[in-house]
Amino acid sequence: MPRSRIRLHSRPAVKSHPARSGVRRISAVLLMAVAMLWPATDAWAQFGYHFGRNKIQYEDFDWQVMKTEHFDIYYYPEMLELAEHGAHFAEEAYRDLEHKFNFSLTHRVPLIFYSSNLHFKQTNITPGFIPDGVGGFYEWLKGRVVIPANGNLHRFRRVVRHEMVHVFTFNKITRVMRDHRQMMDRFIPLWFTEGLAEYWSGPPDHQHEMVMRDGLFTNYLPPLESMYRINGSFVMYKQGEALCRFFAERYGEEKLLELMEGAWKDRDFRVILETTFQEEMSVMSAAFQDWLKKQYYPDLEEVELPSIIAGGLSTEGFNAKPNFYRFEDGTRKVYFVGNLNGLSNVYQVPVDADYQPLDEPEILIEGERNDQFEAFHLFESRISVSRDGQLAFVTKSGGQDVIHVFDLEADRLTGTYRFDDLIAVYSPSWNPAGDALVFTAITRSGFSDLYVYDVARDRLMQLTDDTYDDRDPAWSPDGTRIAFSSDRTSTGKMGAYNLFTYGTDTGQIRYVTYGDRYDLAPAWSPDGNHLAFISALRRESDTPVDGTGQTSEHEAGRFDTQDIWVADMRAEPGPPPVMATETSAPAGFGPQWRPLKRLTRMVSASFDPVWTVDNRIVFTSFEGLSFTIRQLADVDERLGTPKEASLAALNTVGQSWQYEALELGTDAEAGTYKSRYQLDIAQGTVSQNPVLGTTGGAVFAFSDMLGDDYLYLTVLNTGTGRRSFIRDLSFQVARFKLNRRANIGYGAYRFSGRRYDVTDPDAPSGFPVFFETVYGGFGLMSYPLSKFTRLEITTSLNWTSKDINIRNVERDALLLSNSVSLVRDNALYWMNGPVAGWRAAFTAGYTSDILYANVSYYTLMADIRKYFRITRDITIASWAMARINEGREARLFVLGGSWDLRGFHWFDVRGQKMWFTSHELRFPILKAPSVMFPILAPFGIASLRGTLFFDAAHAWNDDYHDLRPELRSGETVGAAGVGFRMNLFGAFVLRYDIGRRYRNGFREQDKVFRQFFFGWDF
Amino acid sequence: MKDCRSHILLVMLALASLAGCQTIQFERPQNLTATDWPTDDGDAMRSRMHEDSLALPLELAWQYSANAGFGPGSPLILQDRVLIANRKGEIHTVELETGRSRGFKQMGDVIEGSPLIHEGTLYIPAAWGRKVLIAFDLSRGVNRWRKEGVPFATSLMAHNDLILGIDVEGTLRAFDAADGEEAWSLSIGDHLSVEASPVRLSSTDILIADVEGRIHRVNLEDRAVVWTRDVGAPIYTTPAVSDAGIALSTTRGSVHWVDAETGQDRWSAHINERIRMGAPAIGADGVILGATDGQVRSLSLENGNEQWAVQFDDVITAAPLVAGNTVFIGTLGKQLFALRASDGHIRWETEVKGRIKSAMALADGGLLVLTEPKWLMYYTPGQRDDDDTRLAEAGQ
Repeated sequence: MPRSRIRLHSRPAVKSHPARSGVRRISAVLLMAVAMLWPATDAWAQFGYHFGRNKIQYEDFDWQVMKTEHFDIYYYPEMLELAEHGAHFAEEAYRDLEHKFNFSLTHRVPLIFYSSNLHFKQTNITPGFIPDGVGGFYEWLKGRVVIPANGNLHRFRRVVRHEMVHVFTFNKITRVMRDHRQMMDRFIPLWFTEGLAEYWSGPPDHQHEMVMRDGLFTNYLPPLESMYRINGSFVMYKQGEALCRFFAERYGEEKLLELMEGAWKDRDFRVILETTFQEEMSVMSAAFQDWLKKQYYPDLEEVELPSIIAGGLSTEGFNAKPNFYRFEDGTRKVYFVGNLNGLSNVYQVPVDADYQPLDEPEILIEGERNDQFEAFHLFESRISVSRDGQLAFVTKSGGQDVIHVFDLEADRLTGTYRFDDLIAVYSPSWNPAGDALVFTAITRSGFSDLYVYDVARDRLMQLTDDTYDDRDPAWSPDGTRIAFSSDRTSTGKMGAYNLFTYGTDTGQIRYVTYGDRYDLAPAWSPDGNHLAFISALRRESDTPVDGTGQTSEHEAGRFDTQDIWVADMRAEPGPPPVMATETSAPAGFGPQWRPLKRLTRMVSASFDPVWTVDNRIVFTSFEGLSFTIRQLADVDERLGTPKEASLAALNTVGQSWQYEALELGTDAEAGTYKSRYQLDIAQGTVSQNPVLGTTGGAVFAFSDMLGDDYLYLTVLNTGTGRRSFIRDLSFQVARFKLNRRANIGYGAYRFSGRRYDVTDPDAPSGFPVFFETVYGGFGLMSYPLSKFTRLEITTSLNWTSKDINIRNVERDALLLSNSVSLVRDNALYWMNGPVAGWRAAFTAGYTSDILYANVSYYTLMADIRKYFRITRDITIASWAMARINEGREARLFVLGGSWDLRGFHWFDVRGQKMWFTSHELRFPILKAPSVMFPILAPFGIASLRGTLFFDAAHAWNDDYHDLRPELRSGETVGAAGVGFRMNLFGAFVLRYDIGRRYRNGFREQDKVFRQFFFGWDF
Repeated sequence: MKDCRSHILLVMLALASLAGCQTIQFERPQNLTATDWPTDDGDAMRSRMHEDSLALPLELAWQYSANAGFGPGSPLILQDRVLIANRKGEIHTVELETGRSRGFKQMGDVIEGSPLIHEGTLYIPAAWGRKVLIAFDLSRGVNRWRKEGVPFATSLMAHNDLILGIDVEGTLRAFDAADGEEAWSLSIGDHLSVEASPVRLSSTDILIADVEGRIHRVNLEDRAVVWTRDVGAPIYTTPAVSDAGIALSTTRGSVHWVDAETGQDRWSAHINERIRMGAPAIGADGVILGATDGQVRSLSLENGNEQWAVQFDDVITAAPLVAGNTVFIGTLGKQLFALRASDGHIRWETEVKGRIKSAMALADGGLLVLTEPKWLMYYTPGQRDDDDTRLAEAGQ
């Protein structure tokens, strides 16, 4: 599971799983989790709430099914054309992978397509939040593949292939293990499965080259034996890909398959490697290093380090998409989108005349904390500053992207523009007059085109309308042309991007560059004579890359470094050829050429050049696994003595192209999606409790293909004999619908058996055990107002019959309980829990016995938690909570244990009313233990942190000071001490607290306590 | 008390019954007949061509669960029983007439290559674990000897009183059949692995094909390599040998018909570098084999020209079985086909329980098929059509 995700220019990326999102709790999932525990909580009218951000279904997708030879493809009508391309890509990948895996699938594969990343983020197939960089995923439980397109068909094709490699890998290895009658109790290392998926998806892309060069030159690539150190990272994908290529070249392509076919041999993949290749790991590892060096070390003579040749403006964290503005008073500032401490923001850094930073970067626009600036597309969307200081930038806001305009002179937000049909929006660029923006947008169809928004007239115009990926538009200083990058070039089918101009008067699209290269991010010089851009050239290939001689694309050479180039926009012997639509061939006008100059030859990659009014180029560089903002001062000198000068031979441009597609009705059958339950989990449970005895049961979970509809069946029995089997039988049927914005759940249950309930006022306080039978039903609704805020409504009706032997009491009641909660959560999670932001929940409820009127009480609860981030690693966390149950036979609240009132046992402190507060100073002890002590890495120790804590609470019933020792109510109690937190495998947090507890208003102190538990910090 | 005694008796009977199942015994196993298959394909030339023919359509006579999957070789047949080795390391014996178990025994950790019946003893190659070669006395039902060393992942052969096997490191090893003493060994290369089972070229010579794409003719009397030839692409499938020549297929889409005397190609067909060819069989006038592109091709023995080709939906890795004028093809799409050998016409097809990855066997007028996940299926000529089995051609 990737811990960090690097996103570069291209929108799609490789497959991964959400990392942090696994940490964040998500409302829909918890809605179900809470409901599954319903019989133990709310059925008895003890209201609960939970935190977490909301995964919102903004769209009401009308799912359709397309049946091809091997796939059931799920799509919605607006993206039919894209789905037809995807169907072709999937079948194409299937045919190819049959050869590579020497294997056929014997089942149909469900492929679920989304037309954009923003739609993909709404999928319920995975409960977690999906970050920008995720290109798709394979879910093995139902064998589903989920893939978003994002405007780029070539990348879409590659991701389809990548995920199909996973499908084949999983099925192949499963088959191998079953053939040998072995449990699937082992996992092939992620570096191999992801590396293989990358390797068999196509030739190495520019990102692969970027990471491998950087890793080799700045020395962070781990040896083969230590690949676990980078498990889940972006580097792992790329180094894994390189390793697979190395294995194929050194030992033969077939050996990759042998590795899978030998999965039964040992749990330790090293054994499989050594027996398959018949070499020791150390030998393989050394050979791999040599192999890399042979490829890249010859470049060392020429390469430049960005940190040496270009001054740094922001060199901490992840920074990208810079722009520049000189204020009327002469002040210069550089703006960029960055993530310096876990959240993305727009930053500004003042610079002097030499572009030396005058201060640390400071936040201009805070992102990821509110609904308006829900998320920045950190590596995807450029920002633009107009001549009069209007900063245009894009954020996700609700179900789509919006463009914001911030007046830098006035220091205020002046406008937010939302376009109903445009789902994703990228890289706005001002026209010279500052009254119109050109940008890239993706509609529900999934194709990326150029649009112009006339701000003054509130008018939207579409400039291009085809299946090509048009991106990074930049308006020329004279306003007559819009430069942009596109795969509409005749080499685009191979993944190449070239630069074009769109004539604002003529509507003609003309070539600026041409060739098998990756040209991105054009930026005009202030005088309009030059166009700076980023380019990575594809080198000539010596031999077929994957050794199969598959297609010309697979024989393509590797990419060179991604550098800053400049196109001379003045010298044109004739107008460059027109490339207007996907159906027309380029029209030529005799020989044309354009001078191109390469200004840099960086170690790995540069991005997003911006040509300032002071004739400098501000850009993003990648070095040492870090994205930094830098400025190139000697632009004129470099133009005079470029690293490379060439001519774009525009008279050789080829034909336009289109990807093949399977046509619905002709090549594929049409169908309508019908929600059908399929079994997800069937699990039996047996538990032993010294009070309640043995409990046996089973849980069956069903869901539909799209994860929108869940059904749970739970059966439990606490009976001790055959005769009591029926009497002690409990069951619940619950259904949850997640396909709308409002998530709803409902169910019915019978619960019968002995219960231990310290909150029940009927139960004896010393030994609160009784027999109870409950028949009831519940309803839940969670309505997200935004990603951060939601409203929750619950209702339940229970007929309950209690038999309290100890007190010789029998009680019947028909309880109706209703509650409403408002929950807000924008907390930023890190390894052990929240480190920034805040969250709160307010609940009001009422419970009454509508048959006998014995029970009637209301509930009020407030819970507020705030996290003050003092430094990047130190946080003060404060928690305040108050709860009231008031009325006849009101239930008791409870406190105690590692998660709230430390030093006290669970349920030690009880009362119908209570307040509680807790404060922690959270600080690091070892930030990266496994780096400092590599021996710890195999144990999965991801972080070691400490905390100083102080807790205080007071519970009472009628009188605040009515002391009841058996409930520990009527007195203020608390604890103070120190704790240690250790995160294992990025998933589990172990907690160990040492402290002293206090009673009687902190006037009496008890002995020192020690508590060990697991769970996140509050 | 009486109840208790009867329960104990039942448990003891059950244990005894289980213990009985875990034995394999034959009467006079050294007396092989023409219908016995003591090794993969019955003979170490592994041509996959047999004169017996089967009347179509076939119908499922019985199926037997063998607990685990199988290697690429065919079942063995001895007397009235089928012997199969699985990847869990078990040997099962099944009554041919009824499909009932006649005992099974855990032998090695994993059995990938076919065992060998020789002079009343079953020799079992193990692809993993400490005991890599086991000699099991079929008449007494006990192990005669077991060898430790480098595992064997391919089928065994017999030569006079020697048992021959290629270990996973590419060394040909000869063991005394009587006591398991290693008589001699011959390395055919460093860091080399062999996936294809060795085949017999003559009474004294065998052929070894390695994953580097080299083939080696080895004279067992001289213990020397007669010739070595590089065919230019890895060989992962067992070659087929007939008196006319050697059929080889590679993982890079080529098929070679090789002169056994010189090692040179009589012809080679380079079909498509992207596809991986399945194991070959030698028909009356052509080399027949499937591939990952789902095609079964018959290439003329004369010149390598394609005589016919049939397209199927799924990958074909298992060696075809030529029975008279019929070619049986198993696919990874759980399909079993019978093709007319002369033109590839589909005469019969049926769906089986899982992918077919192993060679088939002919036994007592029926067809033995090994399928995923653990099934031995026996088809015999039938008279009727049903939902699962149909004639694709009215006039056979």
